[in-house]
Parts: sequence; C-alpha cells; structure tokens
Amino acid sequence: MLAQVNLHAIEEGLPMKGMVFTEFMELVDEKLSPETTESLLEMSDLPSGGVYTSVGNYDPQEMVTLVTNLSGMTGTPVPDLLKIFGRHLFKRFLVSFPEFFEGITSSLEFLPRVDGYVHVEVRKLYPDAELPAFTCDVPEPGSMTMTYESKRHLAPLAEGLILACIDHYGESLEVSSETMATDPPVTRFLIAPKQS
Amino acid sequence: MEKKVELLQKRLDRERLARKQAEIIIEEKSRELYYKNQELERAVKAENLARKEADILHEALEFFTAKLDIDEIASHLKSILMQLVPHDHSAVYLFEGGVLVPCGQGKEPDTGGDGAAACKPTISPNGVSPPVQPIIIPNASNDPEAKPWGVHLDSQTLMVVHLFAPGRVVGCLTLESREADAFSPAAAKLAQAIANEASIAFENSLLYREVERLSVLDALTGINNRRQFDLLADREFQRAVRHQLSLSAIMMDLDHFKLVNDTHGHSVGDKVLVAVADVCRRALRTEDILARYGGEEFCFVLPQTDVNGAYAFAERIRKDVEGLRFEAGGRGFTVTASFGVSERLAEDDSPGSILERSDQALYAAKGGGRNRVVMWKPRELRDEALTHAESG
Repeated sequence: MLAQVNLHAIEEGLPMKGMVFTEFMELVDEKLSPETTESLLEMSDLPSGGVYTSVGNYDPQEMVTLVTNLSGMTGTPVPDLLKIFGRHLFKRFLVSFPEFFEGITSSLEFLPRVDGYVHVEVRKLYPDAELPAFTCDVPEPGSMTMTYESKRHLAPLAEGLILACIDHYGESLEVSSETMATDPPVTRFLIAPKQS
Repeated sequence: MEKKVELLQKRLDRERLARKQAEIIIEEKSRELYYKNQELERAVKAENLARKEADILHEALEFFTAKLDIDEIASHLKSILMQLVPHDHSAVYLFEGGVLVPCGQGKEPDTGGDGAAACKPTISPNGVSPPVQPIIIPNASNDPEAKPWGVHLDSQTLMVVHLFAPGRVVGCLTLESREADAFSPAAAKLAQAIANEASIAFENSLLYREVERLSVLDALTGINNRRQFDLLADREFQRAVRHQLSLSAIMMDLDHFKLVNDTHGHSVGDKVLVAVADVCRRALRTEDILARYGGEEFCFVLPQTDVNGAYAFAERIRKDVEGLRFEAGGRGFTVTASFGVSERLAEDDSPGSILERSDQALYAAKGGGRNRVVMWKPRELRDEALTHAESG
C-alpha cells in the first residue's frame, strides 16, 4: 500500500530538470492523446506556458499542477500516475543512458548501482541536479530492501522505476513499500520473489 | 480537421519557443564555460608563476646561506629581484656606523651626483617599529619624501624595503620604476620576502665581519692586538728583506703606569691607555703598523723608515703623550712614555730580532730616567759612548 503523496513537498528544493516535463507530456501524448495534453496545459495555465526544453530548469510547482490536474481529468490517483510516469522514465533511461546497463543481467544487480554509480555519473552531467538517495540492503538472497530519501516526495515515481526495471529483466519479483518517516520522507521498498 | 491543425499549430509554437529558450540557455552555459575556462587558465598561469617564484626563492635561500661576502649577497639580491619584481633600478644600503652605505654591484649609481651620496636615510638602525611592509612612493621624482632615498632615474614609482634582522634594521633596499603604479601589493610582498632572506645573510655576514674584526683588535683601544701585530710585522719584514728596504720598530712603555692605576683606579688607567692609543694612531702613515703589545706597552713597525726617521717619529709621539692632560678626582695629571728604537739589520731573520733590540733600547730609556727615546746601538758603539760619558 502506497503512502499518501505529499505533492506540496515537491516545491521544496531546487528547480526541476526540463527533461522531466518533456517526458511527462510525451507520456500523456502516448498513453492518452495529444488532445488531452493540450487540455491539461490549457487547464493548468502554467507560468511557463507549457514551453519546456530538456536543457532548462523549471519550477517544480508546475509539475505538481500538471499531475494534480491530470489526476482530476482522468480520475487516476496521483500516486498511480507517478508510478506510471516512473515506468515511462525507466524506458527513456534505457535509451538515453545505455552505458548504465552494460553488463548488468538483473534488477538486483542494477538497483544497488543507482546511488553509487548512476547518480555519480548523472551529477557529472548535471551538477545542480537534485537527486534522491537510495540505500540498498540484502535481507536474504534473492530479495532486497531499497530505502528512498528525497526532498521531492516522489516515492511512487521511484516505485514505478523499480517495477519497470524488474519488467526489463523479465524477473518474477514484486515490490512493497513502507513509510519509515515523513519529514523528511523516507520510504523503504522491499523487492522480493512473487508469492505464488 | 481544423482542430487537428490548431493543435499542431499550438505544438509548433511551443516547440519554437522551447527551441529559442534552449538556445538562450546553451549560449548562457557556453559563456559560463568560457569564463570558467578563462578563470582556469588564469589559475594555471598564476600557479606557474608561483612555482617559478618559489624556485627562484629556494635558489636564493640556498645561495644566501652559503655566502658571507656582503657585496656578493647584495649583487645576488639585486639579480633575483630583477627576475621576480620588474623594475628599472635597484640599490642596496647597509648601515655602517649608523650611516646607510650602498653596497653590491654598481655601488656608485649614475646619479649625476645626486644619488647614493645624497642618500640621507629616514630610517635608523634602531628605529621605533619600522614598517614591516615596503613603502611605496608614487610619483617619486617629484615627491620630497622620495628625495632622501636618492632617486636615480626619472622614476615614477619608488619602493623602499627594509632589511630586518632580529631586533633591528640592517639596511634597506630601493627599487625604482619608470612606470606609474609599478609595484602591486603582491610584488611588494614578494620583495619583502626576498629581502627577509637576504637580511639574514647580511646579518650573518656582518656578524662574521665583526667577529673577524674583534679577533684581530685589542678590545680596549681598538688597535691591533699582539697576534695580529705579529702577522702584519712578519709580512712587512719579508717585504723589506725582498726589496732591501729599511724597516724600523719602536717599543713604547708608559712610565709609572702602575702608579696611575693604583692612585686613580683601573677605569682611569683604561682612559689613559685609550687616549695614548689615539695619539699613536693619529701619528701613523697608512703603511705603519701599531699594536698594543702588552699591558701598557705599545709597539710600532715603520716600513721604509730608517732608525733616524723612527727616532723622530717616536720623539713626536713622546711629546704628544707628554702633552696629554688627564683629570681624576678633581686633580689633573699627565703621563709620559719611554721609547726604544732600532732598525732592521742585514743579519736579522725575523721582526723579532728588531723588536728585541728596540726592547733593549727601551730598557736603556727607562734606566736613563724615562720620558725619552733611545736609539739602539751596537755594543762597541755603546761601550764607546759610555767611556765618553765617564771621561766627560
């Protein structure tokens, strides 16, 4: 069961990368329709006018408005939308940063590398990026806990990313989450073999 | 259909705006990178310069610790400064007897007579807290403050760096430049750092010179001590032998000096010795040698002087000593001295032989009633003289 997402907390911290916005709109185009994207932009009446470039930085409040309004339009809860967005982003990462996945054969192999390697590389490209912190633990062979800490309160998005990763390697794993703290938010994911 | 076109139009417009935004951001980023790059280049340049300075400083330090010759140190100091602190003229001055004296290469700067000679320092060796930072005088050729330093060029900027030794100022260093604002704070700091290294070397060298001087001089009177006298006398003796020149020696002893000490105390006795030494010193020609031979005993070696010349010389000093007036405990007193004179003989193999004969003559002077000069004569002559005296 996912915890309630505190979207207002997204406002805190640094501006958000333009790539997150362009990817979000592409997702709406793809999953719903270009018309939906236009209505969403019109409805949201954003300071940026919905003009985003991947090399720019934008107010995270705009992402809050977009996700909230999309939830209202579609009736899908915000956490679910974020989870879907997470899955979408993972696919983009596969295409944009294939070097992160080189020689990796499973999600349990990849996920521990996010904090120590992937984020280090990301920071080289985007020194001002606001990145979440992940700590991994192996409670028993074949499973893993991953603790997520971020000012952005985007645990569902992280969960979407993890789920997409599992799908990518075609594994029979499931993800559950537990809120460890709320301020600052800490969420622990347990990745374990599916109970069948 | 119309709706589709409208949607596409909107997207196109947004796309255009986004592209423009991206262009601006990229331009900004590349400008940022450009500045960062420039900053880096500057840092690299500064680093290289600092390394070069450190190398030169290190070399300077090694040189300074290895040298004891003042002029050599001064010349080296100037050459280092030439490399590290751009300027058009430099001068190094050291205190000698309270006066700043130029040293190092180019001791006499081409100043048209208004240079080092005219340099009246505004600093004193025991000055009250002299500035630790160099003094920089802009517009030096017109500034009266710069005048005492003897501005040598039509200089725009003058920098005066003090040379510090523990507890005192050893001297100073002046740098002149024809350019305005020639010396940056960094340059001043560097000049001071180099000067500090040189100061230690100067101080060592001055101390060495002092120790050397003290080891050859009599501490009380400041004239040669016996050891130095033996050395110099031997040199003159060898020269006289080589060139077949005459050479005389005088032994001199103050009369009843023990009485002076006993009556007036040793400090008065010392004053007498100093005054007598001064009288003797004043009588010397440049090549003459004077020394304090013992307690109240002085001796002279007079090159190219025969016994008659030496006799006249001694007689002059005898009169001068007799003419000295002393006072102690409200009472005036005078002193006298006796002299023995002799010259080099062909058979002499050392100055000791001459001195021995002079000593014999001095003994005769004492025996003859003191306050007189006696010339040594061979025994037969002396005997003859005695016979004459007895018969007369």
